[in-house]
Amino acid sequence: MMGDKVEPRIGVFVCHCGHNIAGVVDVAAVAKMAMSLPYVVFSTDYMFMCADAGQQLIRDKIKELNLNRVVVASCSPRMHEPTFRRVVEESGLNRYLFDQVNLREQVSWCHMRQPKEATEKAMDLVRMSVARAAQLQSLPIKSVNVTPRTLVVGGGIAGLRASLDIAERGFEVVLVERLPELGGHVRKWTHLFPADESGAQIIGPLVKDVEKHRSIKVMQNSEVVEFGGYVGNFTAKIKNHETGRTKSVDVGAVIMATGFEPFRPFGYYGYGESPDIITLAELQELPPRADLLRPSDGKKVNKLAFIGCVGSREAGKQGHEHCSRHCCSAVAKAASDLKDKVGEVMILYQDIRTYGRGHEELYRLARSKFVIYSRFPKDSKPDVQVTANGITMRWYDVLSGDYLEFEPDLLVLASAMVPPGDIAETAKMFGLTRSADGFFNPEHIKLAPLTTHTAGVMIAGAAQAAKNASESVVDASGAAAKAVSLMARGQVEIESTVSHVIPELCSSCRTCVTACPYGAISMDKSREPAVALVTEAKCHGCGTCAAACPSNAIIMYHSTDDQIMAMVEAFLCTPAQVEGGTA
Amino acid sequence: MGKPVPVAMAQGSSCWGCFQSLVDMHLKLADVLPLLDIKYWQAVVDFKLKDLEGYPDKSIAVGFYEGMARTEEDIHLLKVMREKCSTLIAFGSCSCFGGIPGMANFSTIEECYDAKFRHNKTVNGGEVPTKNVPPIAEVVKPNTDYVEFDVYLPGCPPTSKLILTAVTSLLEGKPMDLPPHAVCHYCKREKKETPISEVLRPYVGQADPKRCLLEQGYICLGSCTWRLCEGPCVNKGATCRGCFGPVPPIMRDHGAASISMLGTYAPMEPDKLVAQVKDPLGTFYRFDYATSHLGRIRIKREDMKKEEHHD
Repeated sequence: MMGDKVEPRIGVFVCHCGHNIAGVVDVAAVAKMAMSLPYVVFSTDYMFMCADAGQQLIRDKIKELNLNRVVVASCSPRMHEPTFRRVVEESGLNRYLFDQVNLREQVSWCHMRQPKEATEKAMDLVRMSVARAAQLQSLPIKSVNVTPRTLVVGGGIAGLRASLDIAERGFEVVLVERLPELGGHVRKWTHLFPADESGAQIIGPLVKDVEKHRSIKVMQNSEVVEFGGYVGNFTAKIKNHETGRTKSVDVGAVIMATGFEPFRPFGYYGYGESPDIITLAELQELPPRADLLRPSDGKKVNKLAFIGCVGSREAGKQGHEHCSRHCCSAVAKAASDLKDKVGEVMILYQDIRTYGRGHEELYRLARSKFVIYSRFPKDSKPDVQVTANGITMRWYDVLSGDYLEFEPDLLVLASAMVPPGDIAETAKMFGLTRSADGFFNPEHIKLAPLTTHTAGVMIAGAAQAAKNASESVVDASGAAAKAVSLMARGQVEIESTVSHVIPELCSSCRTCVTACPYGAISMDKSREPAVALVTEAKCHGCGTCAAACPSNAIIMYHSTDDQIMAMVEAFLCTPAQVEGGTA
Repeated sequence: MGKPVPVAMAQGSSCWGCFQSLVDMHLKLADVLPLLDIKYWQAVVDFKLKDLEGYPDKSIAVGFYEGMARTEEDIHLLKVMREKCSTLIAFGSCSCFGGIPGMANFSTIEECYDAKFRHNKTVNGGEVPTKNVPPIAEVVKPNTDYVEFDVYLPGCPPTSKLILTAVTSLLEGKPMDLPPHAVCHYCKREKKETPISEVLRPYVGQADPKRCLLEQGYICLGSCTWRLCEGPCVNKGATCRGCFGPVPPIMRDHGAASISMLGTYAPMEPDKLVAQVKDPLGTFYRFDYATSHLGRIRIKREDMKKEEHHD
C-alpha cells in the first residue's frame, strides 16, 4: 500500500452529458459549489467529459495544477470509469486516485421533473465524492496468467457454436454435455423457423464439425460437479455418469450454455388429462411422418388446435412473468407446415408477437393457408374439457364478440421456456446471479450482455433468457469472442479493490468465511490459531467481509472505513456545520 | 529495585471500580506499593488538587486517569494530569471510550436532569442543584478529545492481573506488549458456522456449555471485543458484553462492528431481527458510545447547537 501522504489536490469535472445531465441539474452551480470544498484546487463544468477534448482537459489540468486526485461527475462508472481511469493513468496518476460520481442514471434521469432537488442531490454526491477522494490511496495494478482453454457447459446449439468459434481461432475447448447426445433441443425439432429446415438438418453438420475438431474435447454423459478458481485460472471437476469417473480440467474461461427446459404445464388446459394434449416441444419431437397422428389411438389428425402463452406472460406469477419469445413464431411455422397435412388448424392466442426477421412472414403464410387465428381475452382463458368423446375447447373470441367452441383431435400448448430445474445449484456453483425469470443475469443488459459478475464466466443462449435458436447462436459467437479475447491476451488485470485480512488482528471467529458470497475467504491453517485469508483473484470487492468483521481485521481496499465514513460525514455535516466539531 | 517511581491517580466521573480492581491485587500490593511514590490520589492519600497543580511539568512518571470528564473540574483535572505526567494512562473503559456514563449521550442534559433530579422517583419537588457543584458539559465528550493518552488500559474494570502486568512493566520502564485479538481468540467453545434463527435473551433456555453462545442465539460481543480480560465470562457461561471495547486499533467503532457482525450470524428478516434485539444502543454501545461514529455525530450536533446560540 502506497502512502500518498502528500496533501490532496483535487480536480472536479462536472459533465453536462449534452442535455442529459445539464438539462436537469444546474451543473455550473455544482461546479461552483465544489470549488469551495476542502482540497479542491480546480472545478469546472464541461459539455462532454468523455469526448477527446474533455479527456484532454483532465490531462491538462492534472499537469498544470499538479492535481493528485480527480473526481468526474458524469454518468455511471459502468459506462466510463475505464475511460477516465485510463485518462488519469496517462497523466501519471494511479487509477485508484480517480472517483466518479453518477449524475446521470442516479440524478438527472431519475429526477427529471425536479431540477431543484436534483441539483441539491448532485451537490451532495459531489461533496461526498470529494471527501472520499481526499482519502483515496494508490493501489498496485496486478495481473494473472490466463489458461488458454475454455470450458463450454451445454452441448446445445449455443454450446456447439461457441465451441467451434473458439476452436477455429486456435484455442482449446472442453465441451461438457449432460446427455449422451449433442444437439440439445434443436436436434429434436421438426419445425424450425424461419428457414424451411428441420433441427436435425441444422444440428447435424454442427455436431460433426465439433466432434472432428482436434481442439475440442467433447465430454458427453458428463456434468460439472465442482467449480472453483478465478478469472483465467478456473478448475472444474467433471463427472462422467456412465463410468462414474471424475476428471479435473484447468480452464481460463467458461461459457455457460445450459439452455432452458420447456415448461410442462400441468394444471393448464387439461395438460396431463389426455395423451392428445401436448406441448409444442412434444409436438416438435413427434417422429416425422407423412401424416400427423394422434398419440392416443394413432388415427390421423383432422382438426388441430394451438393455445399460446401457456405459462408465459402471467403477471405476478414468479418465473412465469416473461414472454417466452420463440412461441408465436414457432406456432405460426408449425401451423403452416401442418396445415398441409390436416383439415383445420385453429390458433387461440392472447397477443401475437412475431418480432424477428422473417417471422411476420410466417404469420402471414399461416393466414394465407387459412390457419384460423382467434384471440381470447387476457383475463378469460379458454376452457378445455376432456371427455370420453374427446377434447372440447370453449372460449370468448374477442374479435367476433362471441363464445366459440372447437373439438380438436390434437391440442398443442405453446408452453413457456423456463430455466432447467437445477439452475439454482448451477448458479451457486459458478457464482452467477439470476434475474426474476430465473435465468442467469448478464453483467449488464446493454453494456456487458454476455459476461457475468463472475469475471471469466460468459453466458450464451437461453441460459440468459427465453430466446430462439438464431438469437442463441448470435450470443454464442459473441460469448466465444469474449472468451477468445480473454485467452488471447494471455494475462488479465485483476482489480485491486479486494479485501485483505490483517493476520495479527484476526480473531479466528470465521464471521467473514460465512459472510463471503464468493467463497474467497478460507482459514489459513499454517498459522496457529488459523486466521482468515482472502484469495484476491476470487474476491469481487463487495466489502461484505469488511463490514462483518467484528475485529476490524479486514481492510476493503478502495472502500476503506475511513473513505466511507468521510462520505457519510460529508453528507450529514455540510462543511460550514463541521466547523467547531470535535474531529 | 531502585527509587520509588512517582505516580498520580486521578478520578473523573466514574464509579472508582478501576481503582478497586487495582486494590484487588491483594497481596501483590505488598510487592507493588513500595515501588510507588504516590503524588496524588483523591480520597486515598492526602494531597490536594493545588499540590498536583504545583508539581513541575512531567515530573510524575506515570499517571492513571479513571473515569470520563463531564464536569469542568473533571476536565481541568484531566488536563493537569496530562501536564504533570510523562506517561498518562487511560485507566478503564470510561477513560478510554466514555464507558457506562457515556450512555448519558442517548439523552439530552435536560432529560438527564429530569431523571436524576427533577422527577427522581424517590424525591418530591426535586431541583437541579446549583450550589457547590461544578458546571457540567451538555454532552459527554471522550477524554481523547481533551488530551492524548500514552497507554489505553480498557476494561470495566481492567482485571487485577492486567493492571499488575501493566504497572510492573511501566515501572520497570519496559515496553508494554498487549496482544491484539478478540475474546473469541481464546474462547474454548466450539464454533460450527451455523446461522441463528432467533435471538435469545440471556435468561431464556439453557445454553450448551460447549458451543459458541452467539451461534446458540445469545448476543455475545466476544468477537468484537479486545481480549485483555482473557475471556472469563464466555468461558463461564455468560455472554461477552464488550466491556474491554474494540480490538486494536482500538478507536474503531465497536458498536457498528458488532451490529454488522450480527447480521452475518442472523440471516433473518430485518424487521424480525430489530424486534428481537432489545435495546440495541445499550447492547452494542454499552461501553463506547462516546467514541463511536454514531456518538460522534451526537456530539457534533450538540456543538452545532452551541454555535447557533453564539451566532
